[in-house]
Amino acid sequence: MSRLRETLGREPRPDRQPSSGPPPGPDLPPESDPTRPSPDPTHRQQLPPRGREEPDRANVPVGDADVSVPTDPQPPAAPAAADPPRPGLPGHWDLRSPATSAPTIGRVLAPPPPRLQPATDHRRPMLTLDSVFLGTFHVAAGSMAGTAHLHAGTPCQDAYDFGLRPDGPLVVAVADGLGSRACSQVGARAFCEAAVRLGMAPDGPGAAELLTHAAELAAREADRLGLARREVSFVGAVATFGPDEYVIARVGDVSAFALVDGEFQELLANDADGQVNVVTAALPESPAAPPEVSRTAVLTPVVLCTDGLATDLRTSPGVRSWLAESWERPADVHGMAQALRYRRRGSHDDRTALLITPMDRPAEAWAAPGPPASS
Amino acid sequence: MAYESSELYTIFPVFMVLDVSASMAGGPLEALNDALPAVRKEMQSNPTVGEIARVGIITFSDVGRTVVPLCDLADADLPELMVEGGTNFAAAFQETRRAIEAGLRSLPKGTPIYRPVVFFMSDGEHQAPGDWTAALDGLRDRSWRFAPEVVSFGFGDQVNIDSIRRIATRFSFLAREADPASQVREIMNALIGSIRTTSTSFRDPGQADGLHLEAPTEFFTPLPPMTL
Repeated sequence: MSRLRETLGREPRPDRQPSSGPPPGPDLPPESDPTRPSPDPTHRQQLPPRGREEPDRANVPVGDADVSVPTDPQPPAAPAAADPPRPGLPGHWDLRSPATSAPTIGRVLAPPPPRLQPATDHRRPMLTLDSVFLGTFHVAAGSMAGTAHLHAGTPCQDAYDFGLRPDGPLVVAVADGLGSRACSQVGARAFCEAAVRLGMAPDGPGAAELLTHAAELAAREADRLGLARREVSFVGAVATFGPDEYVIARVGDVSAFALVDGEFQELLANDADGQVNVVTAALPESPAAPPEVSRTAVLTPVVLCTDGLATDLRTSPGVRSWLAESWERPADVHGMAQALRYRRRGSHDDRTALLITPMDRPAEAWAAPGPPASS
Repeated sequence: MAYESSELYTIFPVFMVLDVSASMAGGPLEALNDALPAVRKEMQSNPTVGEIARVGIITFSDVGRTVVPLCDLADADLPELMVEGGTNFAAAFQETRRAIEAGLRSLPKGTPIYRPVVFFMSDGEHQAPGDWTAALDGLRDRSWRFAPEVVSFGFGDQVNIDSIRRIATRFSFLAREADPASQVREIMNALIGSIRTTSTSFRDPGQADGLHLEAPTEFFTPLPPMTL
């Protein structure tokens, strides 16, 4: 059994199609579990329970359009496999890719060879991972460059940061640099670091105020580097996680989901009819866009994420099923990388997620000396 | 709000509206037919384009025809475009609206879509009886849910530049190459590049509402927008 599979704690489900290259057959089926309790029917947006999900669908051209049609809901299991060879490279230069149980959803093309354009400034890592206990929370986080950036030779433009305020609340920031802005990763990174830095002050400001101040500091960072402010534009969110309440403030289309009994419930409104490539608000802009604020006292695990992941959560039962399983309990860094590694047709944006899981006591309280482990 | 329970894949709808009137005979039409496989190759080889972009092809002369309905071009049988008769812009725009409506209505409810883009190219001007601008207004109707961005390209000696400007929602170009066949080739290159760049760019509120054109000034003269 692989190290990653051990991390997840169990074998992959047999109804899941592994990442074994462009699959000729049907897409990932949603799982069906009618025994699961219904999620909390609150004011929050709610994804359909798995028991109500329709059979699997494949994206195939039918008639005059590319539409989904029902297919066999139980495709045969296949062994875990690596990604298919990347086009344009001789075999001995194909990059080694360990096998994974992360699913491939829909018909996908071979991934492009990862590139980086010459003279790229302000490069960011293609993959960032964290998994730590902080006070009464566990934070598992990951940020992965999207296929679009790998193909274009540009850096990941997402960013996140987090920290524990001395008086208890956890402060988390996430940002998504606008795709066509040359240095938007600078703004996203500066915003997240500033939000957490400002948020560490005892009795510091709330999430909305942190967001506004951090956006201004990101703009000043652009000034300091001699960059036009519009070249560092991003969308972002700041959240504070206290013992009694979570507060999330955002500008733009980053989002947050509660994970309740294996179901994702979006905590922030989403314009379902909005067009994918048109956004109405970004940071830093003048006049500053007013943040949208959401509060919740339902203290469940929460996922803060950028649009690359949020769109998949909204539109893919396969991704919801995979991530609910992957995040059934907090993941270590390998588990976080594994969770983000799924492939899905048309999903080429950067993926960033922070999974914040509340605990009933600090991790230190669990780490009290006990009897020595038997060998 | 409940989400759809089926897989919904992001779609970037692109419609190519191509003049096949008599003046396109010879080199220009050959260049068009030669370029279509290149568009398909881009769909087959580049995942950031091929997994998102869906293409429809409409031709027009005396009438408008949907020769390739909105589809994954990687799997489509490419037509061989043939020269037809006169030039009727109204028929082109009416058929384009119909093709957009049919293509996007057939997608599953909740499918994330980019704003549709129409690439219009012509080497002439409207020659049929009657006014053509009402049909254009119908295509560009802002109250229509699927109102597209219309990008227009003109080429050749007989093109009516004012018409090309008026057809575009914001962006229109005049090809600069010496001969019409080369102009068509560059227009098709610009079209492929624009699909690629727009497909791989995500969310920019400031730059053309998410549309990214690849029309280098080496080959194209940008025309000033026409205020109606």
